[in-house]
Amino acid sequence: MSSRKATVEQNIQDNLLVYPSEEKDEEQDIKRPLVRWEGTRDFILEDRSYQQQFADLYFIRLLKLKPPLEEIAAEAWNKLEIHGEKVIHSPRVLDVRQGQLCWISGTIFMELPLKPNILDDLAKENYSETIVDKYTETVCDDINLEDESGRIRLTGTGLVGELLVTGCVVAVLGSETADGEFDVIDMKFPDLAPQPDLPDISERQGRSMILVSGLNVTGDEEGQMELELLLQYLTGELCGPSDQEEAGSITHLVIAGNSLCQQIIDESTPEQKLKPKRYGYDPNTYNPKPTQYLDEWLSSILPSLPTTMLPGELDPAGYALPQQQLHPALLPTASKFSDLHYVTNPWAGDIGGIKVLGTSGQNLEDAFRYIPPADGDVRLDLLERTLRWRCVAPTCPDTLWTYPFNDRDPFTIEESPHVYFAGNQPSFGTREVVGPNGEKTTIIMLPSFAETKQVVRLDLETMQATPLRFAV
Amino acid sequence: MAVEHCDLIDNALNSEPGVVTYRLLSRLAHIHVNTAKRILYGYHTAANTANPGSVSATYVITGLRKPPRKEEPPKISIQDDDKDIPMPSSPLDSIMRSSPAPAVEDEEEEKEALEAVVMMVSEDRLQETLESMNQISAVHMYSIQRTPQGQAPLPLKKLGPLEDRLRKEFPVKELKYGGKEFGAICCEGVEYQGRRPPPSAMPSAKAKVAAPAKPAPAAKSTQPEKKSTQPEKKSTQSEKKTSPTEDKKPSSFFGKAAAKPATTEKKEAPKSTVPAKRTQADFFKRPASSAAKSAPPKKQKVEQKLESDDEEEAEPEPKVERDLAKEEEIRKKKQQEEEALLAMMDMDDDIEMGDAEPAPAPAPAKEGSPDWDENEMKDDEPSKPLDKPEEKKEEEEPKEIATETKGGRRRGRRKVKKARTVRDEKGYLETKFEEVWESFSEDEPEPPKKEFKKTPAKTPAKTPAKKVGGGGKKAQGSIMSFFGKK
Repeated sequence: MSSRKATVEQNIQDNLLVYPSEEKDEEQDIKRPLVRWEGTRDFILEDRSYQQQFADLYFIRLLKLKPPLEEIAAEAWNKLEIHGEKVIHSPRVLDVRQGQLCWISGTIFMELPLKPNILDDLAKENYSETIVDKYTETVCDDINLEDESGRIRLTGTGLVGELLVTGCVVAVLGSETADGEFDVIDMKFPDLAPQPDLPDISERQGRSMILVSGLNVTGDEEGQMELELLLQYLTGELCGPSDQEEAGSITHLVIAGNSLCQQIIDESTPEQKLKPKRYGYDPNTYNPKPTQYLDEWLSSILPSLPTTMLPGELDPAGYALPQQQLHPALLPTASKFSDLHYVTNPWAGDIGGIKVLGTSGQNLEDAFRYIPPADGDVRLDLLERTLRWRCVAPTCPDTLWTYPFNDRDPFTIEESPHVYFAGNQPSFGTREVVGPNGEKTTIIMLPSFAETKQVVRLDLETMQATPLRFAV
Repeated sequence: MAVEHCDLIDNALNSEPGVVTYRLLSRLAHIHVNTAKRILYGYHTAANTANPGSVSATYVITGLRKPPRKEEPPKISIQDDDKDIPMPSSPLDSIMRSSPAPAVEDEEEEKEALEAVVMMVSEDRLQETLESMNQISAVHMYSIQRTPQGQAPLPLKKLGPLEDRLRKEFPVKELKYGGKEFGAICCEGVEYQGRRPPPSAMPSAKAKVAAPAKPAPAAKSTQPEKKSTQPEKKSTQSEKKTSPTEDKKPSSFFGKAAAKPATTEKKEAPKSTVPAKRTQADFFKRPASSAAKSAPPKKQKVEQKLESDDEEEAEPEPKVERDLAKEEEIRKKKQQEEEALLAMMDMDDDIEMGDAEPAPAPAPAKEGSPDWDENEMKDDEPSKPLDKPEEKKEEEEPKEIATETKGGRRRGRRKVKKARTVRDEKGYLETKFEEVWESFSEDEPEPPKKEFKKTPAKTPAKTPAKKVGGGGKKAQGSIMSFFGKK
């Protein structure tokens, strides 16, 4: 036992279980570099008019994505001959002639049995949307391809195993069957958008970034210790000198949504029952603890570490995407720091030359509902797909609440990011996605901190993400 | 380990909450956190050598480990690695697992799936956890606490709130990390923009005590405060000025105001010799501070009206001397009142807090900026003489008197026309339009306020009954009260 103990102790890099030394060598003074920060304004809503229709969004998306998609499809298929039959391009879905081998492009629309339907909601007197885990229990057999001219139903082997959701723009190769359906043989996506170069290695060497989501701050004892450990880790107080140096290499903290817990009012307690029932906002039930705690917590981090904060599904920032920035009054002290950046969700920006694109997870969550349960956990694949579809949130506006843009579709990706993340996922996941022209994007599923106690550390030199767990 | 550190730890262990974390120690002793971690270790070892088990500790370990199978984090240790990894559901499975092939697989897995972890463990699990780690980058003591007679130490989860507390007791200086002192990493470019708002309220009270002979500056100094607390009031300020008497009342309802307004009404003739200036000081003071402004200030007020008729802007300094003693007394009272009120007030009321906290510093600041203060005063004053006569007539115009009280809510009284239907002697219904004073408040009516509504003595006798009915007409009452259980 003692020998084992000795070996264990030998293996410890920084053992602070020793008496204080006379020389103060451990008192290193670490300085954190401040990096340039820039955010796009694409997702910011200037004037919110709800007069327009949602259809414009699809139209703009198709308009924007068709050229790159057709380029890719033409290159792959135009010279193709199958059984001596030449493949031709049919510019309009409705121009497809039966039996002719051709390729078409358009937007996918999927009819799923459990998809929320606005007409149902209207038909029922009481509007209530129950969010289901999945929109379908079985493989979807009602997939349509739609363009400006019309819609055609897709079938065939080319669809097997493909992850598809409403709103993604694809090109398909095949022919129309006698039933008027399009028998798909192959499928192409717009694929990764062009990507700016990564900053020079000297600007990234020994630097990292921490991404976290789902802090779910309650202000209660529960889960607070982990948050405190995270705080001390980020400010470089926790751990030994080598870890502290590592903490000093962190140049930015990204908080991807759900920072505050959902306020649940327990109606069953006797005190609650006694209180007069109020409709709408009731100041008596307001619990200031979560915001207060978050404010203090952030105020302790901010002098040390610049932070970007996305709102999430549970945060007080509206429901429809793009969620607008959290109001600074929510966190009065933290908001006074120059380097707390309240941003939208989704958000695209530039942190020290690294192009970052991320969401708090609603896009992935909703897209995942389109996938039948039998396919298993394909979240990471889906995340990759959204990148290849060049659309952050394809299911907007079909099943994901969205602002009805009519002048642009901010969800289309025009420039591939270096890092692409989705917050509030059940578990951590990462992958490097490589595009046709050598674009490389690190995609990350950020686990919810409240559930997993994990944050993600992104090494900017290698562009690799690793989880870091705080266990109590 | 220095003796003073031992004493510090001793003291901290003996006082609430009886836990010393390395951060607390580093802040108490002004030493680097890493030194503090070592000192804690030294103290813990020494204490336990002298009296085993008397002090228990918690540790933080960082490094790489194999992620636990279940959500139960550090339960699994390396000793029983072989046994507890498979946890098979079927015997067949277990046979498969025990065969050599899966072992290799496990090894591979081990290499791949190592997880970086920052772990906090209690003393009894330290060794076990250390052994379970594949790679340890650091281990240090997090906190120590006394555990007399085998008393169980505080569970780890309970230590979170202590950090919260520490944050409040040792706020980050200037909200900037000093780097070397505690070891927190400093990011140079980050700025804290909004420094604490310059204090003004409490200081003015103090300043007055210090220099009682100068009520005018005192009045001025309170003015910024007023401005800051009630920006929306500016619009109504001129109206407000018209009738200081009315102003007084809303503010004094906290005290024994009920009877007083009636007396003020009658007091048309000058009765007091107290200078006008002082009243203004009173007036500009926190509107809510009330009870202090009992009889004497009221008299002054009436006087002020008359005075200001002929003096207007001349703000006579000599008059000030008249009643120094009295003034002093009142001021002291007021100050006490204020303090009591401050205590009562919501602590999260930013402005009040900001005003109240940094009491000592600001006195000079006030003196430094008399110029603009004066200007403000002048701006306010001209309206007074104009309105005064009218006010004395009968307060005919529909005016609104608003004050801001507790928590910055706006309330006051205003004149409204109301239809009143009465049955005359012949039995006909007759509708009369009458002007009635009505109190209003911007926010939801609270019980005390309801009392207040009845108090204003200037309202014609019939109003109380009226007001209940006229509730709907009150602008901006909170709709929430409508839904409340009656």
